[in-house]
Amino acid sequence: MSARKKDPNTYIFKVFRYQPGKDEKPRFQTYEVPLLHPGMTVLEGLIYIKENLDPTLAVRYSCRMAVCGSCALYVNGKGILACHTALREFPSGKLTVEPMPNYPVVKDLMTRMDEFFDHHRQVKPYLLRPQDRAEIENPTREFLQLPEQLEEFLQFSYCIKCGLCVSACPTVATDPDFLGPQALMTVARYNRDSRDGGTVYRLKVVDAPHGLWNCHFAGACTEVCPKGVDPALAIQYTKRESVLHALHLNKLPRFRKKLAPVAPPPKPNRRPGIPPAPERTVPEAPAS
Amino acid sequence: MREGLGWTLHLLAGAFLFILLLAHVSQLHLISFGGGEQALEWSAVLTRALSRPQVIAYLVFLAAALYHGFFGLRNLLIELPVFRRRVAAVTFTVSIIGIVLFVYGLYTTLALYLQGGGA
Amino acid sequence: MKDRRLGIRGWIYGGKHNPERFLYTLHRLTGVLLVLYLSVHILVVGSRAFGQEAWEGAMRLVGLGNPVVRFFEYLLVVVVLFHAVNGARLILGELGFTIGRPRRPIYPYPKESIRKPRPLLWILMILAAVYLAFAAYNFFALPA
Repeated sequence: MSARKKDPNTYIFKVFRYQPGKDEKPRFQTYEVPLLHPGMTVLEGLIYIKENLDPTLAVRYSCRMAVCGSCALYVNGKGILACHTALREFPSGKLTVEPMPNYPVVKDLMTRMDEFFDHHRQVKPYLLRPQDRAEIENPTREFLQLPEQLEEFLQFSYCIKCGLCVSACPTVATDPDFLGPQALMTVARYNRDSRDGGTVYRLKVVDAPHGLWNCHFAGACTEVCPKGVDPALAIQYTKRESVLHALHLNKLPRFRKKLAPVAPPPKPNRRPGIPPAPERTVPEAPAS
Repeated sequence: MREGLGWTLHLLAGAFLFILLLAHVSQLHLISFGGGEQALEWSAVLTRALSRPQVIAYLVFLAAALYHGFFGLRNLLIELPVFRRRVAAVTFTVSIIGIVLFVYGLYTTLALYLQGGGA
Repeated sequence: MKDRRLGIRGWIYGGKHNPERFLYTLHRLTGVLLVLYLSVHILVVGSRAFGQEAWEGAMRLVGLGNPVVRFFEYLLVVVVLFHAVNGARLILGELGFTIGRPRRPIYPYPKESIRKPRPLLWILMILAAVYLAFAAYNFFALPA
């Protein structure tokens, strides 16, 4: 059993410090942070350090409520969102705070996300509909989608792009060109959307070396995802799609994708028999 | 979609090997099923090498195992920092090794079978 | 800028993650071992095409009958069984059979794609263990 902290309301933060170009190599700095309120989070602890103990500490955050995905980091070897993890989840009172591995460090706990977003952009993360080019370029109506069809991809659209899945992936650890769990998950998010008709185009991007098939289902992305997106599930479904395409089974009626139709134009009289509006009781305001 | 086709074959070969490899291991390594050293006596080797179903199984097995093994190896190698930008070279080298081994296996299996059949 | 890419070290340890992440590494390791074994195996058993003497010479060369070789032969069966069982889990998962369906992420998250195949993996591992116990009896208890 590791030595317990003396004061139950004090947490020891061992924080990764490194400023590229200035420091020779990374070091760890220790801070003592009091528990200011029972629900205090790791991020609040880091902000406490920044405000009261050491203003040079760099940490990136924005929303403080697990929506923006800026504050992803590793505490005691586990990938977390700092704003989403209470200090009381660490009964030993000792926290080793590190930036996400597999990313370049900008400073201290901040990591550079360029590559991550490059990979995200490569898989065309938007609705493609080459079958209705005119409708996409000059939209007239919405596409009709049933709630069941929404459920097919809704889970995957909860991604906040924090980058934790990429940091946990063992393939990313050796292969920087690998698209990574987030980008590959996005493929399933759009390919499974009934409004999207770009499956072939996205498969063309990922069905290459360093793409879809360099995922070997380690599942670490799913384990670490703070939003329950389950990237591994999405990627395996894309693999299934890739297998169906390779065997040309996607043309079978059972596997063919049914595209959501464009909504019909509204009828001029939506419901007959609605009485006309009563006369005004207050005079119309003069136009100023 | 060449990568996808390659992997589809990899998965199919894997599923196929699951069954065939268990049979092969049982047949040749477990004494209860006639395996172990008795299976490696020259007479036992010759009996197997001259039986047509066994030879067909050997050849299918050879192709599936070599494909599955060397395609898997190629995919491991292209994920390594040294080889990740040399995908074509890795694929080529690994394919050559696989084909040479296949031809050798094909030759040795068929040579003995045809020889024995002729004699 | 320091790139904290983990490299091959990241296959073995990249933080506290799920057991499947270690199976990933074991699968690769056993796979490489099996490819190496397969190559040698094809070369060795190919000697049978060159007559009885060549075959018996090859069998002497690999040390047939040596208890150490016998032990490594058993290890080979263990490696084959692990790769086969884990591979079965991977194939079924990659074709979308055992991993569940997308559902709304409501806390605590189900993490279905890794949790749902686990019972299957357990069953397969137990079957493999039974086979391996039988193989061990064959290898070390029965007279050769």
